[in-house]
Amino acid sequence: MKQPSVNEIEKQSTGIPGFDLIAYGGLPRGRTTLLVGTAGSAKTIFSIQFLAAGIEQARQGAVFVTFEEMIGDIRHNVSGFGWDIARWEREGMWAFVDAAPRPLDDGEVVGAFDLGALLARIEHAVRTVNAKRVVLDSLGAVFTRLGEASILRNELLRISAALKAMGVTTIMTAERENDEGPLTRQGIEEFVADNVVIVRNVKDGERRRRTCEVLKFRGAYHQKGEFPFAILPGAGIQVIPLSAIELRQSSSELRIPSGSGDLDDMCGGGFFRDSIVLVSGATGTGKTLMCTHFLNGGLMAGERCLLFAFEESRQQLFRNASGWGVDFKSAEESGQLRVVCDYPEVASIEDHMITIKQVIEEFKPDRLAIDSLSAIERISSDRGFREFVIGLTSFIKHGEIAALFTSNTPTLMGGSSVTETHISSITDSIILLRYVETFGEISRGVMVLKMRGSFHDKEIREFNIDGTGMHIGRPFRNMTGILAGNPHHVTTSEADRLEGLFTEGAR
Amino acid sequence: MTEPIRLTLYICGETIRSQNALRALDRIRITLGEACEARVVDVVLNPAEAELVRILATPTLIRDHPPPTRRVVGDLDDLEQVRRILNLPNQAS
Repeated sequence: MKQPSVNEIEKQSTGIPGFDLIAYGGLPRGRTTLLVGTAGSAKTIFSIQFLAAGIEQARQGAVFVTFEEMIGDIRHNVSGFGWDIARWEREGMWAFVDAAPRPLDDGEVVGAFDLGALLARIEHAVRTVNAKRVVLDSLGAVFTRLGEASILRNELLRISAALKAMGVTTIMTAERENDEGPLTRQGIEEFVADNVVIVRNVKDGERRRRTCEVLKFRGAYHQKGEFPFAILPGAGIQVIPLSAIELRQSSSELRIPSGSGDLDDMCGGGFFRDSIVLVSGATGTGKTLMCTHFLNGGLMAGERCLLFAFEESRQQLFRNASGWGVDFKSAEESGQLRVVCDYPEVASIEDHMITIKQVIEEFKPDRLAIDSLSAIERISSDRGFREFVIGLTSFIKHGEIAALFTSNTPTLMGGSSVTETHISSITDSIILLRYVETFGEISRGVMVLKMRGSFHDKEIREFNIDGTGMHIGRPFRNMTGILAGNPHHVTTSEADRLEGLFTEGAR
Repeated sequence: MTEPIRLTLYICGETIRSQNALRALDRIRITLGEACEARVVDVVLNPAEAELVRILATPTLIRDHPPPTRRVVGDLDDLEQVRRILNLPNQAS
């Protein structure tokens, strides 16, 4: 990643995984950042995670100024993320400034006023806990309470300047009415906004999709555009940096066994060490079996293998594998294999992404299989799925892991799926599994459609499944139209004639 | 014997707004006479009390007694308004 360092404003880590990556280190130190978003867009969580990171990583004191939520509610609401504010208060690391509305406070306004008392209280709190980070949440509430927008804007500017003079890094949050359009109702952004971060909670089809975006950092670099994020219990916000991950992995010449000798031959000697293989086929064509072979090949070679199964239960998988002579159970007991079974519907696509990443980081596999990507596609919008696939593949490539994804084609014969259009250009190899109808009988065909950087078999071969797994046989002679899903028989003489036309195809 | 009226004025340093509010408080005190006990708190010197009473804007004038407490924000340039909001009598009774 390009991370310019000359004369750049220093950044303060937010403690939000992924955000520091898109913000090139965090929020500008000693400055005020305006965080805007609609109701429920996770502004408060973002802010508190920022304060928590200061305390946990660097023992920096934190001040939280609340204009809306009651202090007791805040303490309670964020405890689920593992943030024990009450403890930090006892340790003298955290101070609240309580500006939440109460029925009898404020009263009416007669004449000119300023927010001197608020500033004095913030300064007092900063001194008390020796704070380096301050949050004001959220500014809109002050405007509704005191009216007098012009006075308040000036006062906020004054507070912002005073905070800067104190050398603290500040987040001010403000609510906006819509996910697009003006940043804030009161035009606060024109005053305090050297730096603006937007969080969104947009409806996308039937689902909500959370994204965050660094709109501007004055005098500092950042990634542009929206990045999806998820809110996880016990952890808080995690941003998924997609394009921020650079494809800088070295490309390996090393071949690894695919788990099937026949398939190795078709691929010109096995898969590449760091390649991503897509296996596409209709239901029952043998995709899960190919996963099993792929993992077994890894286990035989002493590699660590990881399987995410979104279509079958654990019991089903293990039973089927043992039916083909592969013992997943003892492999998992020995710690060489991990199988993660999940229903796609239990979580959002962002959550799945983060879970997958976490397991990969923790288990550090040499091989990874996902069965199937189509199941994930089911729970997501097109855009969300594309981001998922791009994010995941770049993450996998980063770790130099050999991966095999399966994808369901919707039609029995031939055809393609949306999954393929999204990911076929990202994957290094594509293997197609197809049903072939010949003389009133169904058989299975396999072909290697693409194998980046290598010679591969161009023929469509028949393959059979029996008690020991899959067996690739001879090519379909005298057949055309298999790929298109419309196979028909041609006479021997015509086949010879066609072969004569393409001398290049001789192998 | 009427109940005493206790007022607290919160100001922020020596600003024009502070001076205006202090003058207004003096005039209120004069009209109320002995029934009024007034106190002035500078939030710069005493931020902890401002935190305790949750003062946001300055100047703020609070009628602490008799209950219920009432507040008015601003430099109190309209005494009639202030008396109405804080429910203060026009003159010493």
